[in-house]
Amino acid sequence: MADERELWERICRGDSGAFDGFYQENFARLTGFLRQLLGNTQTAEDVAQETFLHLWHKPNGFHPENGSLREYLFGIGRKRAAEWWRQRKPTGDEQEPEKTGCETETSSLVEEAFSKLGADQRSLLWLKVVEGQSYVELAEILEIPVGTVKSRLFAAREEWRRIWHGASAGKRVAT
Amino acid sequence: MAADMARCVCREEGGDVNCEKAAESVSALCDGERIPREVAEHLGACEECKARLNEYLQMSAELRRMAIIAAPQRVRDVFWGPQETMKSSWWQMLRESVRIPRFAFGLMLVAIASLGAGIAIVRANNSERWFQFEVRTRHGGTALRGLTSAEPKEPEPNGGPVVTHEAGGTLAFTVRVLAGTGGSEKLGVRAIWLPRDADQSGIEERVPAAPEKDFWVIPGQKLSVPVNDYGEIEITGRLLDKLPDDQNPSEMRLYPKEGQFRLISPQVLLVDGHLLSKGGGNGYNFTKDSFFAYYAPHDGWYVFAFKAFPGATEGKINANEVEFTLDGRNYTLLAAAPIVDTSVTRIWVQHHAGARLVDSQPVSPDRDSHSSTMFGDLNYMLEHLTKE
Repeated sequence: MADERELWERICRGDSGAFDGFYQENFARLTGFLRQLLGNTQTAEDVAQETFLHLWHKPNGFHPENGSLREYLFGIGRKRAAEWWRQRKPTGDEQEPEKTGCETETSSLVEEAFSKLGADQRSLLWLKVVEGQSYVELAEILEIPVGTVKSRLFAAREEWRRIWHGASAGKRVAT
Repeated sequence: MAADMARCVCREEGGDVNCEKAAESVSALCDGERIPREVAEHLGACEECKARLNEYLQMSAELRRMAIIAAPQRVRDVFWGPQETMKSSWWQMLRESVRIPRFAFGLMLVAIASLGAGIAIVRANNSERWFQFEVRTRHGGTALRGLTSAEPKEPEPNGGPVVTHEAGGTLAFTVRVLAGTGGSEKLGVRAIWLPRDADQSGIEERVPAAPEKDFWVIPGQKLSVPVNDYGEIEITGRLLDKLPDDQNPSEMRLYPKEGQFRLISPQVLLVDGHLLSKGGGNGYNFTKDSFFAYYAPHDGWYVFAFKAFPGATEGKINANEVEFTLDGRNYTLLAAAPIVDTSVTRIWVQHHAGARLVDSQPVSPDRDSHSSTMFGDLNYMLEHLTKE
């Protein structure tokens, strides 16, 4: 935590070297998370860039006693993504995340089912499974109670599983 | 979801936990959270809930695979660009998206050894419950920390013996789980002691030739195993209903923690863009003072460390990709998952021809039918590097 505070203080002083290191460590992670919220890599990169710029210009919104700088960054990113959706003219359905290809039929179905989840569920699962955030960290990023994190993760997994099973059954019927 | 739950009608003896009540805890278990004892008991007896857990784990593994495939590689461009670019690069974001090469990344972990001074070759396997054990020498030093299936469907084949050196000689042993009852584990142990003045060669043949002794070890209790002319080695262990953090596929982060490295199979070694070898094993250790080595059949060992060492060439590491040049040829080692966190960008490598890296290393007769990996202490390895 002391390191976090020091890093934050350096960023507050305009130390671009400190910020560069923080950026390098977290850009890919933030983009991965935002891609779940926004549906495609291009937009995710844009919003991630805006998020970093926001942090660079206004680092004082971070309070070390409330969590880590990375949690704060992801929290800003989440709000920026929500803002992006609000500003976007409605064009119909939400974009599905880009496919990454698959090794097997099963992995293809699991991946496809994941892409059909809502953005909130995708991003929650992403933060937990890929980023390894704890329930407390997730609560901080998403601004929800810890107990809600647990129940939402369960609901997301069940929904994902339900879609996957439905797709599997459909595949069997089709063949 | 409700309809799905309605199919689950099994109930646990003496309790009122049913699948519907247990389901959220199954999700929490995937997240590495503690679950109530009665739910754990239900889970152990309920096929429906076990299936749910397995599917959750499979889904998590798939999501991590997707993450690895889709991870943007711009960080590499930032790291490896000219110094002037590095300093100003964070706002000069590039658009290209080079993807990490794709490999299967499923529920595959793991027999992992975390070693102090010893060296071990490790292999992967599958399990739902785990036996985590530690082997100590007569002096109390840790010779091996291992993790293996608690309920092997068939006895696991022995890997190469673990070899540890003491002032008076060399201790070599293998440990494998023969059977598990859920409350205790039946271990098969082969161990030999070679005093310093004895012929040290041929350990790879001597250990398998030694009689295998069976022991029942109760988790939490010490098991003393006598070794001829040596004394006793001590084995302790515990049962786990999930893999420990950092070794659990559901808990595995995209990047290892700072100060640690992790090698996940399969690995692929390319030379000038052509495949030299594929396969390998899993393992992890701290980056400081450790090495890992990859054996390419008929070609020898490639030793990697995160600091310079005599005879080594500096290379570059970015997530799951190591690039280096030896004798004018460009090599790339690819692993199934990031090897280090993104702050580590430099790595040193040395090629060592031959099948044996250190004098005491066992060499199996089928060594050139598959690749393998080795992990251990760098200084120890350098001190005992074979002159072959």
